[in-house]
This record gives sequence, C-alpha cells and structure tokens, in this order.
Amino acid sequence: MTFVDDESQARVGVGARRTLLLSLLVASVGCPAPASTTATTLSPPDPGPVRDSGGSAAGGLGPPQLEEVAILTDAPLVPPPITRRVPAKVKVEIEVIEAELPISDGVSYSFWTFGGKVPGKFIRVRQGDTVELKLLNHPSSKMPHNIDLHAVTGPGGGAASTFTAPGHGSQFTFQALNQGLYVYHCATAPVGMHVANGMYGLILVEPPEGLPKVDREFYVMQGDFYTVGKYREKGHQPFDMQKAIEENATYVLFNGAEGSLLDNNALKAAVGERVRLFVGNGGPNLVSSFHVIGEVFDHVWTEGGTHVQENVQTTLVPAGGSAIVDFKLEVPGTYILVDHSIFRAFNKGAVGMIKVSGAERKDVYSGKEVDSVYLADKAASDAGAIQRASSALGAGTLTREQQVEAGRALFAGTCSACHGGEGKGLPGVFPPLAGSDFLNADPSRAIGVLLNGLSGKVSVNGGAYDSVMPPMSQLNDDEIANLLTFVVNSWGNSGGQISSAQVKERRSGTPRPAGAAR
Amino acid sequence: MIALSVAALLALAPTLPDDSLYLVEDRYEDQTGRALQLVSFRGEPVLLAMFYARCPQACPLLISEVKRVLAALPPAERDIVKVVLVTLDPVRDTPAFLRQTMTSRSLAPGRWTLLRSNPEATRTLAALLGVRYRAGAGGAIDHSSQIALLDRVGRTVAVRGDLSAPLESFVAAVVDAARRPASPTGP
Amino acid sequence: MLAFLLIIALAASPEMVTIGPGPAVAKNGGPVDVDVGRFLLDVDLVSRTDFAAFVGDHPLWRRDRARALFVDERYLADWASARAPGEDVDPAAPVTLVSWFAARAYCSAQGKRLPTSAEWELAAAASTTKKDARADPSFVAAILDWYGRPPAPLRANHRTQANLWGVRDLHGVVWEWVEDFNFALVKDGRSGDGGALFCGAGASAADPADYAGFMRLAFRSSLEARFALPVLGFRCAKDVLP
Ligand code: HEC
Ligand SMILES: [Cu+2]
Repeated sequence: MTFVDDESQARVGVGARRTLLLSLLVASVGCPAPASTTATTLSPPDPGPVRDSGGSAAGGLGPPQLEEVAILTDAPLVPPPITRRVPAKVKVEIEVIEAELPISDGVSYSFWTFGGKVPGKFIRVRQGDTVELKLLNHPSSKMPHNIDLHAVTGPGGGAASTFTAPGHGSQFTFQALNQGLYVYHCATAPVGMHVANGMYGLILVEPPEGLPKVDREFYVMQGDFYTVGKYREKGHQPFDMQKAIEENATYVLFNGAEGSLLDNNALKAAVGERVRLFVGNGGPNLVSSFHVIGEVFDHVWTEGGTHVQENVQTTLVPAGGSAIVDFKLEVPGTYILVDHSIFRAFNKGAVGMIKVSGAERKDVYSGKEVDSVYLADKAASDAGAIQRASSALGAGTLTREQQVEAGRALFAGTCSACHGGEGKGLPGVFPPLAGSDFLNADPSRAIGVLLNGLSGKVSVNGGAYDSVMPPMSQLNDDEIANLLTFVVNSWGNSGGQISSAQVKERRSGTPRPAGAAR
Repeated sequence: MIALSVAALLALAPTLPDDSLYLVEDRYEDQTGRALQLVSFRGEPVLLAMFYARCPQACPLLISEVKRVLAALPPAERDIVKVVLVTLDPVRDTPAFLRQTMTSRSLAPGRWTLLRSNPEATRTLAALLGVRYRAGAGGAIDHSSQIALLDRVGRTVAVRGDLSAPLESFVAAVVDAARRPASPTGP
Repeated sequence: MLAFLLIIALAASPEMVTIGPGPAVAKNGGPVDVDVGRFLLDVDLVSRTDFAAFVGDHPLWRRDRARALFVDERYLADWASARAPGEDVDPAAPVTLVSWFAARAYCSAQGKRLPTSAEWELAAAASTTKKDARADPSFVAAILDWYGRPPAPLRANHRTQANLWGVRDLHGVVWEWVEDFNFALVKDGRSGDGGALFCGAGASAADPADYAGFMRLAFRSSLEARFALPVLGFRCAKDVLP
C-alpha cells in the first residue's frame, strides 16, 4: 500500500449535535460611559527636583491587590486620574472596527480604528499594574489586526500575541513597569497602511504617586493621512500608498478629522484653570511641532517621559511618541492648537481650539481674538446653500441665483481673508474684487487665476499690485464656478454666469500640481 | 479497508468528543510500515509534534525538547505518556528512513512512534495543530515547532509553542493528563 | 470507468478554465520559488446555492452536525437554517463563513481541490488585458481600495469582468481560502521570518506593487483552519488530466 499517492480525504465522523454559539464573538460596539475630566481642587503642580524614576527596574510594585475594568475614553476625553495607591490587575478590552467616517466636510475615508474612532481609546493605568489586554477584531473587518503598546516590556510589545483575524479575539497580559505616556498602534503588515488608516492611540502609565492635580485633562492626537484626491476633494477618498511612501500628506489632523476640535467641538475651559493635554502623534510619517497659539506651556513632560521642562513655546512630538503639556489660563478667548510646521495648519487641517470663558484680564492681554483669520471658513460657511446648489446641478436645474448663494457661502471662508468681506481688498497688497476692471474685462480669465494662482505685476482700478495669490487647489469645479458667479454678480461687477463645465474644460488644460495624485 | 474503517468509526464515534483529533480518519504508517490511524493512540496521553527527518536544526531541537519534558515527569507518569512525531515530508521520509532516524536519535520504540501519511493528510494535521510550514530552499521545509499534548480521547489540552519559555506549566499539564482517569469523554 | 472520466470532463467545463503554466508570482504571497504548472480553476466563486446543494448531499457538513474539530461557531451562521441560506441573504452570492476543512470537503466532493497559494496568485495577477498586471498602478489601486474599505453585503457572483485567464471576482468581492493558507510562518511572530510581518514590513514598502500580495499574506497568516469569516469564500481548482 502506498500512502503517498493515495488521495484520501479527511472525512468527518458521525457527529454529536452541537449548539451554535453565535453571539460569542459578535461583541457590541458600545463605548464605556465617558468619564469626567475635571478634578476638583486646584493645586499647581510641583515637579520637584529632577530625580531618577528608576526606570523599569523600579516598576514592579508587587502583586495586584485588586482587579478592575479600565475606563476607556474617546478623544478628547481622558479617563479620571487613578486614586488608588496599590497595584491592580486592570482589564482592558478594545474592539477593532473598520469604518467609513468623515475626514473633512463632504469627504469620507475608510478608517481602521481601535474602538470606532481615531485616535483609539485612551487607556489609563498606574505604574506596577498588571494589564490584561483583550483585542477583539469585529466580524465585519476585512483585515487582521494586532496591537503593539510602547508601554509593554517584551518582544513586539504585544503585537505577536494579539494578531487577530476578523471576528476573533485574543488576549495577553503585561506589567506596566515604566511610567509615562505611550503610543499604541497596530503592527500588522503592511504596518504603514494600518497606521496611516488611524490605528493608534495613547496609554498613560501614571507614576505611583499620580500626576500633579489639574482642572482639566484632554486627549489630542495628531496623525497624517494620504488620500488619492487632493485636500478637501469631495466624496469617498481611498488611501494613496504612493503619497504615503513619499510622505506627502494630504491631511494632517488632530483627532482624526478636520474640525474635530473646532467650534462646537472645541475644548472648553475657564480662566483660572490649569489644563493638561495628553498629546500623541500616531504618524505614520510626520513629526509634529506642537504649539498652542497664545499660550506658553508651563510644564512639558518631554516625549511623555519623567522629567519636566518649563516655559516651552513649541514641543516636538515624534511619530510614535507623545508629550504631556500643561498651562494655566489667565485670559479668556480662543486659543488655537496647531502643528507649527505651519502649512499643515493652514493647508492640511492641523488646527484645533480651546475656548476659554471668564472675565477679561486687560492687564495681561488687551488685544482682539485671532480665530476669525484661521477659521473663518468653518465659522461662516453656509452648508445649506452649497448643498442646494450641488443637488440643483445634479438635477440640471441650477440657477444663477443658486450659484450666487452657494458662492457667497464659500467666499466667506476662501477669499475674504485677503480680498475682504466686501471685496474691497487692501490697497497695495490685495487687489479689490469689487468693481475690478481686471476682473470685468474678462471674467473667464479669473478661472485661471483661481486654478493656478496669480503672481507678478497686475494693475487693478489704477492700483499696482506685485504679489502672490496661491492656487486655490482645494476647490473643485462646482465650487470655483459658484464662487466666480457670486463675485461677478456682487459689488457693482458686470454680472454673468460661470459654469462648472467651463471650469472643467479650463482645468483639463492645466497640469495638476505635483503630488495632487491621479 | 474502507469497510473496516467505517466500522471502527461507528464503534468509536459515540464516545469521542466533538473536538477530538482522533476523529480524523486519514491513514498513516509508522516506522515499521504498520498501517494505523491517529485513533490508534487513544487511551493514553500523547505528545504530538510534526517534524521531518532531514531537518538540520529545528527538529533535533524539538526532539531534545520532548526528551526534556519526559525527563521532567515523575516516573509513574512518564511511563504512560506516548510520543508521536509526524513527518512534514511524507515523500522522502519512508518507514525505512524513519526507522533509521529512531536509531540515530535513540528514540525508544515502545514510547516513540514516527508516522507518515500522504501530503494532503499531512496538511490536514498541520492545519488542525496550527503548525505552519512551506517548502524552503534546497529541499528544506520551513516550519513552526510546537508540541501538542493530547488527552486520552485526543483533545488538545496544552501546546508548548515557545520552546524558550519555562517548562513547568506544560509539564504540569502532562502530569495532570496522565493522572486523569481513562473515562471515555474525560472530565 | 469511461463514464467516470466523462463526468470529470463535463464537470471541468465550462465553469473551469485552464491557467498557467507560469512563474512563481508574488513572492510576498506565495511559497518560495514554486513554478506553477497548468491547472484548472473555477471561473466563479462557490455560491451559497452551490454550497447548499453540497450540504444537502453531505449532511455531516450541515452547521448543526459539523464537528467542532473542523468548524468554529460561526460556520454558515448567516444562513436561515442548517439546510438553506434562506431569504435574508442572496443565494447567488459567494458562500462565506466556511472553514478551510469545509471548503476542502466541498471541492473534494466535486472531484476538485483547493488551489495552492501559488496557483491562486498566478491567476489573480492577471488583469483583463495583462497576464501580470501587478505593476499596473490602476490594477493595484483598485485592489488596495477594496482591501481598505469596510465590506459591503455580498451580492451575486460575476461582479467583475473575467480577467485574461477567464476568471471572475478574484479581487473586490471576498478573500479566498487556499490549500496552503498555513504556509506563512508568522502566526506567532516566533519563527525566523516572523519579523517580516511585524516591524520589518518596511522592506516591502519600497515596492508598492507588492503591497496587495503582502496584505494577502498578512490576512492568510491570521487564519486558522476552523475559522469561518464573513469576508472569506473560496473556489476550487483541479489538476489538468495528463
Ligand atoms: C492669500 C490671499 C488671497 C486669497 C485667499 C485670494 N486671493 Fe485673489 N488675489 C490675491 C492677490 C495678492 C492678488 C494679486 C496677485 C498679483 O499681485 O499678481 C489676487 C488677485 C485676484 C484676482 C485678480 C485681480 C482682481 O482683483 O480682479 C482675482 C479675480 C482674485 N484674486 C479672486 C480671488 C477669489 C475669487 C478668491 C477666493 C476663491 C481669492 N482671490 C482668494 C490674494 C488672494
Ligand atoms: Cu491593523
């Protein structure tokens, strides 16, 4: 008898009946109740003299004396400070969910998430705690995933132990030996793509005595994103591997979406309070120059480590790294969070806000607020008019009036910063659009001005200008048509209508800027 | 042959648990050329691993690891545990070659059995045990090394995958499996 | 005997096409240097209707009878009953939530087998116009786009145009079981090349054309043979008669 050539097949024996356990791995997508981020007493931190924490050698603080389930939060919330002073076994359960979510207004992206949002759930434990981490990969996932926590002492940081197929779960346990603020991320191949899709978050390992008390704590995490379409190009945007390899980010964002920390989503605090930010940077590529416009960080736990630097304007947050910053608020108003690698703030979305309420402190600061400059488009955009125009265009019933309305809504955020809300410009610097002879001589020429920008000498209404208008490459054909139709029908201009077909034709004759994808 | 195996199955199936490896009906032959099925090992705890005889490094290590486990057992338990090694290279690992390997690695025939089957059944067993393997360069087979502990009815009750990890918990599992009564469905 | 051969010949057409021979493609996604000979491959993924017929003929593979050794709890869990997919799912859509053992048993019952990863990768490297389109940016982009998106409910087979070999839906519908899914030594990151899947992935990042194959490798290596996943189906292959 030859076994090797025998093509016998595994057959299944007569089976006993078996019940189906369907629900086991179909874990719910629910989030734990958000925790309060406010501590009651106000006592400024005293970082004390520089000391040696002892590193991981000092980390084991004895066996766990109790067991608890970790409170996990979505950004910008942070779980409450740990008040217990004994080691515990802390159970952490995170579900990986692949989800299509907005990355900007009218733009969606397929994010891969730890817990349904980007960044992933904030985990807070105490040095010496034993963490039992369970990773569930939702059955609707397409990809296997795992988790590598930089707080873990052990090969791979947990990645190998948690490599999990869709609809499955895995678990491993580690002791948090080192204190500090650590990034965690997915480390499944291709690692870059998993990280670029949003698979990162923060785990805070508090020192045994806890962190100095503050009034508010927030979770802010930066990430860079690479889409096939350009910045703010509408619709679903797939991941662009080539741009990622070239580190040519389309978006640089706080907390996973443009506007996640703006206006109604702004962080809120009051004069007299001390605010702490747990800042992370998921990357995948870019190092952040993290800065808050109008504030100085009183303390920075540089790179999320143990030693405190004081009086810092901008702190570097490496990709795959973190920083803890705090500052006391003296003056009310709006403070702007930026990546001070500044084009990212203005042209890729890296802005956020802290709105501070309270009484004026003219002795400290007397000036006007800054937020209109940075955020006018968000604040003033009339999404309704834009929406009406785009559905009318689709239905083939778009009128000049609808275009004008939609254009007006866009103008406020797109052009007014330079040309002024009434199109009057600024003599010698920004030419007027109101009654502009340059514009009215050939309105369709303005299509090219918006698509390609304008630089060099121009004369408008007798005034000479020799400056630069950047290309408005974030605008699509409809938006340009609506904007220009609004402009030519306003402020005494000669009227008319620009169609998106005209813009399209002009654009097709215009080479796309390098890096603007396909 | 087929009739026989169905009869054997009917006799055994009611008492084998649903997740018993002994439900696999593939045919194997041992180093003496004797035909058998995995269920032939029913009744005693078994240390089961996959290897191939020409393996230069990983498999000698695996074999010495099994010996280390056996050496760590109390004599009473060591006496009842059987070791079964199944080749990942069924074409070249003929019974004669397996017999030679038994001698060269000093594997006592009473305790150790070396098996081969056909390529398809080999893939089945690897899939059941979670052994990953593929053809490597120059006739080598790259594979993961692990030792599975089967209880008396063929259920995998422990796996030693990380050969650098401490031995104690796996040895304890073997002792436990050896001490449990030979009841048909286990605990 | 003649009748037997005839049946096999009939079964092999028209829903199978001949593929190969070809070189080992996608080093990322297949075993080392395996040249692929000629073989037959199903034009379409196995549908729920096909699988229901198999389960009818082989009741031991019904979800209420299949052994826990061979299937996990989610095996055919989206079907209305143990015998039939029911009204809630599209019966013409590819069957998913099947384990490797079940997929293999199905193919074997048709006188077929699962394709090897090398065979599958050879077939899947072709676009509608090229035998090896892996360097074609739009081909790769379409695959990666599908990998990146959360899955939508499965609809009928034949969603994509047949590729140059005549095979449909190799990309953009479901992942597929292959015979040697467990060739990848990365399951626990313990073995020699385990690092490739985790932190060392940068090596492959230099060649974006290989990313799709690399992602299939990552996916396969997360599987165990009992797993039944909503996004994982299969098709069968067969040796060409000499
Ligand atoms: C960053 C500042 C800036 C923004 C924003 C800007 N422009 Fe300009 N624009 C300029 C400058 C500067 C010039 C003159 C360029 C030169 O000197 O060559 C100019 C020139 C023009 C001109 C031609 C001269 C004229 O006054 O008729 C038009 C038309 C125009 N801009 C329209 C717009 C529209 C519409 C928008 C909004 C989509 C816009 N611009 C946004 C700075 C800006
Ligand atoms: Cu991932």
